Amino acid sequence: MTYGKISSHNARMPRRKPGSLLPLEVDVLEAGLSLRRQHVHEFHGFELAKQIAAGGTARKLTAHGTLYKALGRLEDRGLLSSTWEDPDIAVEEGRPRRRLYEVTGAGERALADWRQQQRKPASGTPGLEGAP
Amino acid sequence: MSAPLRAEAIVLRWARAYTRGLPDEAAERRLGELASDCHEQRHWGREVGASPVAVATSMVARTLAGLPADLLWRSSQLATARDRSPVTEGRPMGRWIKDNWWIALAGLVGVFLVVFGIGLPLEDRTLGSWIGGGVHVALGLTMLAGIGVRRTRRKRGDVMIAVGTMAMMPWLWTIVLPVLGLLVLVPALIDLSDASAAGGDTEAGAVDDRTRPTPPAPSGPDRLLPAIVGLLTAAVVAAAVIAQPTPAVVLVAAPLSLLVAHLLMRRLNASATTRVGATLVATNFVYGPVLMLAGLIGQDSLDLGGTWGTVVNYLVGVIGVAGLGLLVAGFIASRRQARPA
Repeated sequence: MTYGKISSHNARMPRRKPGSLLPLEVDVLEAGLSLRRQHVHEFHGFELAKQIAAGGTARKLTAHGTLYKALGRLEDRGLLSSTWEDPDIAVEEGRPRRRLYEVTGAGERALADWRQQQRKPASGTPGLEGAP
Repeated sequence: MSAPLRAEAIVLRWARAYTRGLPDEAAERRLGELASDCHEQRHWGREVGASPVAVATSMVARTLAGLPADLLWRSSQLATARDRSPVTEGRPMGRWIKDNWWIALAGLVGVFLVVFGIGLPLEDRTLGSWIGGGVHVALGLTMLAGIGVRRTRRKRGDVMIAVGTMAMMPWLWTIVLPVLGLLVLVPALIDLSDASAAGGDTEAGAVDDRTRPTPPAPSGPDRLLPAIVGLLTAAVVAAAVIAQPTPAVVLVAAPLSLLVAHLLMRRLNASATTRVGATLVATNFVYGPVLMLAGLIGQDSLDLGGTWGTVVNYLVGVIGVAGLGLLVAGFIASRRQARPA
């Protein structure tokens, strides 16, 4: 799926500038990098939801639909990569298989660019648009 | 079953609903991720000592808050599967309406029949009303059940819907009710024909219409044959319930003539001109004997008399002559085309 297609699916959502990030996408990338600093290079959806919730005061776990849609979107843009974990591990631990995500180099750069934009004077175009 | 497990079942049931008909890869990935997410949340709840009800509430709340995103995601997956972005062109909704409007109408008609059937004996507490009400309720429920059955047994569901519409036919004086019935009956029987041609009884809903390869369409007029037979059946049912000679003859003669014309056209493999001509001639062909028979058995109720009678007689004559003319014109045109240059 192309980025243009994604943004065109919601008529009410304004078209996004290339490189811009939605608030949840920023949260996902920040949470992913935060986990990496804790030596967790790959993370699954619920782990990410917990990490995002822990990032602010009184934040709730992100809704399923919103979270996994955002993860798919970021992966389509190459900002995340993902893979299914080895099924043997899941069987051994008696739980469903996890989809493991990782922030890519492009994801790191996109977040760095977004932060840089945020530091610019308020007259500039904001990097955040729309809502998740 | 504990509250978190019940919540997980709800989450996954909803996920199965909105991933239905999507490409396997996308559907399996989403279901797998949610199964993992729910398991992890239950496990985490136990670890931190959260109450089972709080964990279950959180899981259901996460699902409810994500409903719009789920539906948008489904839409984007379908668009990807078709390798186009239809939302911007207004295609998916338009196509869905085009394919399913009659099913929605069948639902309305089914509900109407049930409500009407319940109300009938309340209005008039006679044995006939009780029986009539029961028949309407049964046929209404048959239609509603047919809509559900159709998702897994398309042909069976179509037949159930078509049978249910028969309850609308005797209410001729309302005009609206039989028209609504026909608006459901004809598409249901055409769909039945398509399902038969596709060679299966399990295709509706098993795979989304937009991702399913288009089945080979039944060739030409054959596709309409079940619908025309259904129309004739509906007319016979209406005529039998009304039990009055004039409307009965008129009702049955019209679809009968259509059937004769249709069968004639199948043999002709003819041009549009010839087909229209054949239809007009067949209409006369059927009405003639019907009127004659009505006269022989002493039913003079078809004799309209006066100006109207004259107009109708002339009209029937003009239709017959026009039909013959078109048939001849079509025949000559086909001979010219067949002649080598």
